[in-house]
Amino acid sequence: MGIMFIALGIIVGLEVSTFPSSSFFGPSLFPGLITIGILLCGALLVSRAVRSNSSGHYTVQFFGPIKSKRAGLYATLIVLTSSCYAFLGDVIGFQVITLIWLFSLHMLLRRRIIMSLVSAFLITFIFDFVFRHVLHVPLPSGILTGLLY
Amino acid sequence: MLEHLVTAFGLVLEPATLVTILVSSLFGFALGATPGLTATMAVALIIPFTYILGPVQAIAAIISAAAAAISGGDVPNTLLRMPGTPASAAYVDEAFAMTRKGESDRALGISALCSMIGGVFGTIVLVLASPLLANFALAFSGYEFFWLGCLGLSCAVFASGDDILKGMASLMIGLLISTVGMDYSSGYPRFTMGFTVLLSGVSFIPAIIGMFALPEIFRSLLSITQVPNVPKGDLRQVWKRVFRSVGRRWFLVLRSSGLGTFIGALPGAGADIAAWISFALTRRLSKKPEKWGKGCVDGIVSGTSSNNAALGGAWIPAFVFAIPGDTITAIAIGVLYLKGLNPGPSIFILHADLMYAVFISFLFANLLILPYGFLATILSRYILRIPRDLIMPTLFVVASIGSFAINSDPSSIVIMFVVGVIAFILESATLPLAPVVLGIVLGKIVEQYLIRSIISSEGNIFAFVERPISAVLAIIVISIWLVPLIRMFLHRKPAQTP
Repeated sequence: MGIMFIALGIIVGLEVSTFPSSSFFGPSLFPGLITIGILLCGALLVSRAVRSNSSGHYTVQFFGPIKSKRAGLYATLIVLTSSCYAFLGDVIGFQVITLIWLFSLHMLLRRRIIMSLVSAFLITFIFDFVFRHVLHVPLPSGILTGLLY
Repeated sequence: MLEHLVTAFGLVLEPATLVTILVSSLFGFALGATPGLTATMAVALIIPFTYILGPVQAIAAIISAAAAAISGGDVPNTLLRMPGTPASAAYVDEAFAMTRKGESDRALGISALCSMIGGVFGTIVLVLASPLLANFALAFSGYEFFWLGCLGLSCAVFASGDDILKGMASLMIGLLISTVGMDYSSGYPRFTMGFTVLLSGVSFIPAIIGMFALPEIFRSLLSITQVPNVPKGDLRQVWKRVFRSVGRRWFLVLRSSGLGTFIGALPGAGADIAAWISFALTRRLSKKPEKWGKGCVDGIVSGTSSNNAALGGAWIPAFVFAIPGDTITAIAIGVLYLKGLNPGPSIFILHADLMYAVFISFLFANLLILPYGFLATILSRYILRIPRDLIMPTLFVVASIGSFAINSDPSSIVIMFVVGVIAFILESATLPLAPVVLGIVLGKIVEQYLIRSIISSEGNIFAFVERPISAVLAIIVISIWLVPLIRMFLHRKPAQTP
């Protein structure tokens, strides 16, 4: 982690060096101080890791060993769904994306197909009703534009 | 003050406000009672619903959800040895030991009653202290606010856990995020990578939703576990014993509530820190140390009283100085800005009625904890049976649509996702998230006051310590950093040679 902080500090420092600096309290003052802080934290984290571990083996643990073989699948689904919401929401529509996401997850979590479909439809309907109708959030409906109530 | 209180009561007694308090606190309680879902997450998820609410209802929704969630966290804490919120973690062993002894209902009752008393205590202090502190704060200039911001940042680091270095590293990430966008003094775009959406900075609410919801959803999907059997017990005679138990410990309740309020009022500290300190103090002063770890009621009383009292205390710096005491108040400050109620000393002059209405809402929310506690033993058994594999995908939809709803901009979902990934990486390396949140909120404030003060003093750095209050604050901030460093240096172990 310390090395990551040092790398981040160097990248941020290089970017800060491109900021205009007509006076010492310009746009680079505060980010410059933060850069020093990041580099200092990185150096201290590395120093502490080296001091406390004489074996020379270092590992990064993600919440202990990940037992689920589906970790990659879940992560991919989250990335895909977030991307769809962000970039294809206008085209496909939030309702369709939500429905596919919920159905896929419920199926993956070993629910019955009918139950997955019913719960996905029901939850999608509730969210659409609450956000689009009650809260007046302009959720893009995409391919369903004009077809929804 | 009396005139404002009367007007405020009128605002709170409006049906819309009362329904908001009732629904939000029930929502908060249910979320708090669900293991892994924190009070912060309850508040983050309630934000999208605050868009259509008026200012009083919006803040009332947040504080009601927070108060009830902290209390709700005691339910799985007691029944399953799974702290519903971090604020419940301090006394989890004592509460669960009571469950093993067949006294889960009594433990839940004691938790609810003490939470209510602690919350009401904190509210009373909040009502009495805030206007006085606001008058005092009116004398503050940019220098004082700069040091106060630094104090908040320092407390965020030192109160975030045992590891100060990791707290400091987290804080740096938060501060770095706060610098994204146009520079305060010159308008120069910093770290925007060419995205115009980032010119106004990283949108705070999607960032918070991503930070707390996304890692939790991912983690839960990876480790869906079977909910253990919920114990069953007779509820009829329990409450008499609960009132007797708490009545015998009235001094402990008051002491823990007072301590919790004080700790909560410190910028950067929160309900979980308050619970830990209060629990540790009570254990240290206990005359029966052999009872601890085996279901000691004193431990539960001290922890639950102080964590709910801390919430009341945390609103003091949030409203008076615009300095968040913890992540929940940081979110509330964001909503206050969203509603055009800029927190700070002048809020008690410009919007005194609204502020007192918020306080009264908080009082109502705390009073509701007792009936919720009464129902908790029944309802919690159903809540805990809802499979998390059904909850988590749904929460992802709430998080995504909630982020979009802040300004109807899909880029907010990207912000939510990116910050969520950063939070996941930080949590993977056991770096605390609270300093990141406080860094994002306080970073902008500290930078603005720093630049403003430098400009007004024409570059004279000594101006930061020339005024008496700013000098005192500077000494406090520097001491906070120097004392642990000196202690670390004095107790430094020699490096081990391989």
